[in-house]
Amino acid sequence: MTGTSTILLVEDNPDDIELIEYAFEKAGIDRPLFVVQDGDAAVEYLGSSHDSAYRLQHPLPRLILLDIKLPKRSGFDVLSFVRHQDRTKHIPVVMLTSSNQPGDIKHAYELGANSYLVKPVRQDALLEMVRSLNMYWITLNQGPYQ
Amino acid sequence: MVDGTPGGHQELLRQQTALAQFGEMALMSDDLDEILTEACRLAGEALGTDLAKVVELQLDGKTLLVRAGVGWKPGVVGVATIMAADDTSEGHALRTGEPMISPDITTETRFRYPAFLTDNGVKAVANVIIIGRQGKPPFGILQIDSREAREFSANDTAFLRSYANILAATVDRFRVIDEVRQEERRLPEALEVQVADRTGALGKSNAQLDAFAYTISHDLRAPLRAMEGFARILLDDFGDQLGTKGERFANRIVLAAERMEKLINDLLAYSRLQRYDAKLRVVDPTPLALKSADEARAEQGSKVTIEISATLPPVLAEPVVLGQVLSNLVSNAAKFRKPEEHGQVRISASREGDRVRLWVEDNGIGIAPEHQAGIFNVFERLHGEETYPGTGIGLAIVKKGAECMGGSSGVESTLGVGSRFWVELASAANTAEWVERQEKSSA
Repeated sequence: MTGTSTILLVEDNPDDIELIEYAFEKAGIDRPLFVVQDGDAAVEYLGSSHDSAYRLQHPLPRLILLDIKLPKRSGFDVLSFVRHQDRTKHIPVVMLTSSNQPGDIKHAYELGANSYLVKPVRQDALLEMVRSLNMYWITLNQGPYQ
Repeated sequence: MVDGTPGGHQELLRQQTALAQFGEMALMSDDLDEILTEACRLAGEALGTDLAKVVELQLDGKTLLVRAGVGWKPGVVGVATIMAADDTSEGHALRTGEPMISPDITTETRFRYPAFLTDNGVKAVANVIIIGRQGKPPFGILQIDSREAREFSANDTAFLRSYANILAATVDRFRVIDEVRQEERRLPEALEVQVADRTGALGKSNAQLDAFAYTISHDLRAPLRAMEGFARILLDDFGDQLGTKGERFANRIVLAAERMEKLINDLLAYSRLQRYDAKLRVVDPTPLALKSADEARAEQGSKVTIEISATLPPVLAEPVVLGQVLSNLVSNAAKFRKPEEHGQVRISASREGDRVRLWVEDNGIGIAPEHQAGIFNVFERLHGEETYPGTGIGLAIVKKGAECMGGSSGVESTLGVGSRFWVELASAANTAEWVERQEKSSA
């Protein structure tokens, strides 16, 4: 069991964080959204060297939203870390990035991303995207943990 | 004269208007000095003073040059410098990153001030830092000067901070644009050097440019998303608090952001063509013409009729590039109509030996002879955004696109009568592939 239906957002741009948080709020999704702002922090959050008190405060997420261009450690490195750790390898990872470069898309899937989304410029499109994400990955999708 | 209470309603309104006006102007103008000067004027106005300046940190990391300003006697803007030392308020602001206020420099004991301030009758100064790109030194400082000793309220400094952050984003945008321009200038030289060792080196250069284009599209889009996103939220969810004027300004931010998005896309398309190694093949232009006609109709509605001549002969081309070329030509033909007149656009072809010319003809406003050569250059625009919106890159894409397919492009036009644009490409009518295709379809 991976705790409640927590979502982990790995994103360094404060504007994007606020816009995504607002879209979650507006879409009426009241699941806890944890935000970490660089690759190292993501690995730290998801790592196994924590006691149960930490995990209670920072539950393993049901879904990871992952940017590619991140300080300290790229989204690809984080993805690869997630897939090589027993406790996290099945967590759905959705890339949420501004890159639509074919090379990035291919690389993300090769490393085991479940989905690849390009951040929309328009706010209403972002709202729509967040709604679908929640509907599919949290509500409909049957994860291995239930 | 300054209402320092949080309820200084007029003051807040004035500051918010300044923010909105400046944000919009910063997106529209492509002249950094003009933007900086206007930034000084608006910020000064919002704080009730006619004196302000932007000082730019020089490469040595300690000299600050007065880059722009308003209200100063001659010999200050572009000339005067200030040292960012420990005993100047500028040095302090740069080191701490915090706004620095000097309410009265005549009685001030903390710092020393440059002589030109006293010469210009300055009594009070507010410093707020203009940050640089991540990991880079700051661009400089926005300084609001006053001829009277005065305090700056918490509201004032909060306003100045957000103002300086927009300014920082704007300066950053110009740095990126500069890099694009430098990269474009560098490219031909880089290619020349590589002639001897073409294959390996070219591959590398393309990879670098790919990375570069990626950075541009990523980094330029990020602040754009923020502008569009937050302005949209203001409109959707805080509309009742904005008032008509606020709503109009927020709308203009959204529109400006959309314009910029289109500009980035066009620039990327154009820069890709700069180094495009087109793999030519036999292309039937008719479906591409139909598609571009559909797009133009979607843009212009019932104000235009587009007709495609029955037989467009096959050409040697790259379908994506030819599609883009035709789409730009047809979109222009449909757009540049005479006001109040129905648009007629015709797509046709003529054959000249082993070459084919595809024509896009309109009954629009036409182009004066002296402008006909220039319009194929990047950013060449003959009309204001209000009358005929556009990015000024469309025809540059046509020209570059035709060239990279081994062809050419041009225009015949009479002002007030209409224009006939053409692209000329190699005919594919006699290629084995086309003959075979024809035989198959008639069999």
